[in-house]
Amino acid sequence: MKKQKEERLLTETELELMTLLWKRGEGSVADVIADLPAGRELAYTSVSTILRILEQKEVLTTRKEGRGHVYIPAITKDEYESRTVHHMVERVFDGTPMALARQLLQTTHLSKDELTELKKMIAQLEKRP
Amino acid sequence: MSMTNLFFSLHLLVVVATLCSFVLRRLSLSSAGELKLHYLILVLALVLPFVLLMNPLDSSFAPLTKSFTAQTLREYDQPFVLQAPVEKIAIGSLAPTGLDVTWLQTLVVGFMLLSLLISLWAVIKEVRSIRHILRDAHVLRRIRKATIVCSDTVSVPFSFLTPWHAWVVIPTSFLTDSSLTLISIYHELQHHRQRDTAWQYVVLTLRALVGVNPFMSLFDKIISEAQELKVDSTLVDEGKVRASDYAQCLLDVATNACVGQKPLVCATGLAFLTDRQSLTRRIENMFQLKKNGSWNVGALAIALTLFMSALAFKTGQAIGSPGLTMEEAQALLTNTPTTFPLEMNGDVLHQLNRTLQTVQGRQEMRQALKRLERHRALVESKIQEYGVPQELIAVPIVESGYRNLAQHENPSHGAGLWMFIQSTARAYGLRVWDGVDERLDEAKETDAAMRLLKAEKIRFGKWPLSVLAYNAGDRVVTKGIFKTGSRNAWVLIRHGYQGDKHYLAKLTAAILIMKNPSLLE
Repeated sequence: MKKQKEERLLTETELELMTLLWKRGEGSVADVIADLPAGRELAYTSVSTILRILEQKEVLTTRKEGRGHVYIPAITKDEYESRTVHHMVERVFDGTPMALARQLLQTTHLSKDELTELKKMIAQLEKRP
Repeated sequence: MSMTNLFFSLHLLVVVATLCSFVLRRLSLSSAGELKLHYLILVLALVLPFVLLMNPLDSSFAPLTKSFTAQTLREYDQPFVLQAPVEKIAIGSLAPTGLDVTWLQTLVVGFMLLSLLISLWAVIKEVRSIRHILRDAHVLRRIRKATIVCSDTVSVPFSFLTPWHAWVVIPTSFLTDSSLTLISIYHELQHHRQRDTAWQYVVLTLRALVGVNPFMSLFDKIISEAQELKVDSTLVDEGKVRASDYAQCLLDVATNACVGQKPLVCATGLAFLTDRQSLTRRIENMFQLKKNGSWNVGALAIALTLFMSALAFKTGQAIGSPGLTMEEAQALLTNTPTTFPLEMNGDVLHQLNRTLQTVQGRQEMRQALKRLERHRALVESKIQEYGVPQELIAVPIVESGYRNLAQHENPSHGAGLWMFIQSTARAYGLRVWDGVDERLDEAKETDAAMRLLKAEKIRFGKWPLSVLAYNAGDRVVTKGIFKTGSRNAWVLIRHGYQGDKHYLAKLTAAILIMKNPSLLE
């Protein structure tokens, strides 16, 4: 298959497994299964296949360890969050970040501390040349 | 005109194919047998109209089965007895329908082009869609010439075939359920094993030709259902999948399908049939015991082939062109100078239109006139030598279509261009013994025919009676003249004194068409 485009997002299950790996740092298939919440039943082969697909998507890299593989995130959570926001701005908000920001402020309730932090971030951005 | 009949034939066969398939669904057949019969119907509906287009059957001018023709002078004094009943075998041509198809032809071409364009566009769109899917898909497994991939962009599994590879596409969301993944893969691979994905292209071809026909969608659906039922029963009967797991998988996939992708015409899919009736039928079928079927599939196949072939043949020439009215035919006769006396009547008009109004008739006449050209120099030279009317060059058109035909198994049949029977041939100096048949010598037989026609003209005094005697024998003509008191050939014919029915009418029609070849356009 051709190289995955950077703007491709992960599926729900892929994101779930990536979140576990981001927390853990790296892990094998068994490690990921062990970290799954109670009641979330995924077969070994399913998790193995999904991690392999994530490797093909270049979101994970692998290291051979003994008879198995250890999977290491190739992108950080921050990078993925940035990618997701970029995707959302381009695809949902017609390339207008302001529309996303407006929607975010209108639909979510930010606490006073969060608003203060947001103002600080805006002030820092304004100081940049 | 052939295009019109092809169009008509294709569409009618699609309707009939759909009805036959619908009936087959109701019979107690095994899923394998039912699917094979559906495929047979599909092939017949697609192929038969083209086969008939390329191989038109002889019709108007098939050699007539004669008991005798050109009676000899030597038999004149023997009691008048017909040696065998005169039978005619005329295969093919329908009576003229009288439909005006000038506008129809334009409409037909338009419809066919529209169908082709719509189908082509659908295929192009789907190829692009499949390429897009494959571009972002991930390989799960490669098995010889098959590749199983998973894709984020599909919601139901499907499979398709390219000339170089078999593909199975599974939604990525299925990977969380190993049972669902496994069943889907088994199912789609079974489609490849059954060659369903290859047959899709045959369906596609037929759809391209008759796409505007609403029955095509129904026919396609019946075939798809039969394919799915065969896959279902194979997997369950072979124990690869438990019926309960399979049914659950089908429901889960159907749920996805309701909100997901449109079925592709180039592909087969686990849940492309998501309507309640089809799903119910499939799930019920899974839990039934293996059906052997109480109908003989082979006998049904033969019956279907014969039925559809007959239908294709009949519809292949159902539409003709406008024939001549009596007034037009009279005018044609008036404006056609001849030395052989011609008469226009209902019989002649019927024979004219029988040729002009059917595809087969016109085609056969064109071919006969073409063959006449190869023999024209020889026949005209003999005509001039014996002082016979020029128009009688048309006699072999009626007799043999200007084919130099060999002796049929029945010795009472004629041979050669002029269809002399053995006794007459020998009486006129042609050798027909010891493996030699000079009737097939075109120059010798033509010479004999001229002598015979001239002899009959001398006997009866009129060329029409000479021709009548050439076909029926001079005893028939003599008796006819005696009984009717008339020397008008048509009077004799009307009183039943003739050989092959409509012989003089056919000859008259052939002469008129020969002298007015634009009638065949």
